[in-house]
Amino acid sequence: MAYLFILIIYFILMFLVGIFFGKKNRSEGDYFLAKDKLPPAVIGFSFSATQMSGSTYMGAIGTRRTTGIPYVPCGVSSASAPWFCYILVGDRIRRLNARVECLTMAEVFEKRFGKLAGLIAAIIMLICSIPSVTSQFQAAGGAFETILGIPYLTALLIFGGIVVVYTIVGGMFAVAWTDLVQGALMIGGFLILAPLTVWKAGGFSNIFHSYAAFNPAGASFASGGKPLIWMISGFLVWGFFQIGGQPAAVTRFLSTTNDKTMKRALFYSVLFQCFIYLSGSIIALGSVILIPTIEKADMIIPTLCMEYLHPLVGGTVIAAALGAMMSTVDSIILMCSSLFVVNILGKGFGVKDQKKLSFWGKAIVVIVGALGMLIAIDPPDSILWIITTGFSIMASAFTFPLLAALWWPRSTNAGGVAGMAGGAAAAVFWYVLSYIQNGSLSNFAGGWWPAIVGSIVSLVLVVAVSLLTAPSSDETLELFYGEAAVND
Amino acid sequence: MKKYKVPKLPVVSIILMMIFLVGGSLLIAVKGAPVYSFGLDLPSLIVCFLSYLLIAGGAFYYAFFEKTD
Repeated sequence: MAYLFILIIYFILMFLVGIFFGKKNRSEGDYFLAKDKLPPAVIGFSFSATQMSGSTYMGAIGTRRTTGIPYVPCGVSSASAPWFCYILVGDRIRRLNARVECLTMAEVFEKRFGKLAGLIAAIIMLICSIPSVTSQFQAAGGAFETILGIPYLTALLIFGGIVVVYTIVGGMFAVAWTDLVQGALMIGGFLILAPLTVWKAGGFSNIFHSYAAFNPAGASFASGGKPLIWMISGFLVWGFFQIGGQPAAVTRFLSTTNDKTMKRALFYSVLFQCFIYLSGSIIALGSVILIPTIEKADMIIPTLCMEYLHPLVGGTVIAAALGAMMSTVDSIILMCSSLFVVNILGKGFGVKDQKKLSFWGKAIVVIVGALGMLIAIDPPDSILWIITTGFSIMASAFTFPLLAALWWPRSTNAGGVAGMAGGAAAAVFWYVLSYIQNGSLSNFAGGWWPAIVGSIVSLVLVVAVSLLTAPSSDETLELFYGEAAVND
Repeated sequence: MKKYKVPKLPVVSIILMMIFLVGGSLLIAVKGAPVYSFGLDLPSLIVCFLSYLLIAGGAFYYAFFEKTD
């Protein structure tokens, strides 16, 4: 009963935030970006809360428990993602955004590599967002079922309905400010659970020794739990490749044109994520003592809350976990809405009727949410590996084309398009090959993660095709690299 | 064709990032490291728990000291 009470209060709060901030939207820029109207902490927390999701709070912790030390570097890498993203991409996008209006990351590609690039980017982001949304609904449905005993399907409908409604009503203002609230709750939740785990488990030494006894193959990098290339690939993928793999988070860089705001936001993001991933590793490894057997490893956090915390405290922690899922879903479906309205309807089909655009903007929120829920009814794999699929394809398609767009004047329209399409195709091919060989979305052919394979193909294509084709127009290069482009 | 200047790279930050990526990958590849009394070997301790200090330090440096154009 206490859990239900806390969750109801939490959802009412999110609705109220959505309604309050819905009144602040005065333009398309406000609805999709809240441009230059968000303080650094909100931007920083929003970036991180979008990147960290149900997979952070549940899926990745479950995988760290079952796999052990070989998987922990993936969490470390994830914590480094804002560091890479802000520095390699954020500042350059901020400067561009100060000179020309961009509402979506697909528009950045369009301005640099042409209309076809913008359209391809929008389509890939739209399609690959569905697995991300699905995995969050799956996580939320599982959490509701474990804690409240609500049937999975009912839980999906409740959670999905709430997120869709407050996203439609509030836009980016609601999304960003609820991200701050949810981020604070996540910190609070782990501030309780991590020390509790260490205390109840008898200290760090006992945790590491017990884990080695529980899972000898996961006791160290050399224990043979995973191939070396798998471990190194995972370590590289979750940090650096967030540049291309998380466009919903990278969209936050379009929210400000101020240098100081961006840098402060980076610092908030990094501290937040380092704390969450470090705590998550401790909780995952220590859980083998506190919960020796568990049917679904993804449900460690809800199970720990129910067994070790007072219901009011545990309910708050669960609300934080649900907050993580909500903050990812709302950002992704808002991004999908902006991609469809701006890039596909507006630029692709030339639709200018504001009423039509507004209608379809809200309709896409409902459609993407509904599709995510539909697939989540009977999902093909664990939370983490579903989200990894969409992430890997986007990382392959966008990381090197985006870096080339922002840092390499010689990259051309054809190079950008080839890099995007080729990278995505290579990642999909590697997934299909891995599934045929191993029947799984997490055991990859040769141990190579699809994001690595796809990104290598993308990089080769961006460079080779660019060098073989004519440079971009002077107008484009002046926008990105002219004197005004490098000096504030 | 007009030559366009590549934007100034944040050199120190990039060096720190390379240390993180390359150093972390090399440590993961280390075999046969002794396990300490608290239950972890040195590569696991550094990569899994101490590397957060490098990440936070690198972000702090960029936010407050790195000079960009």
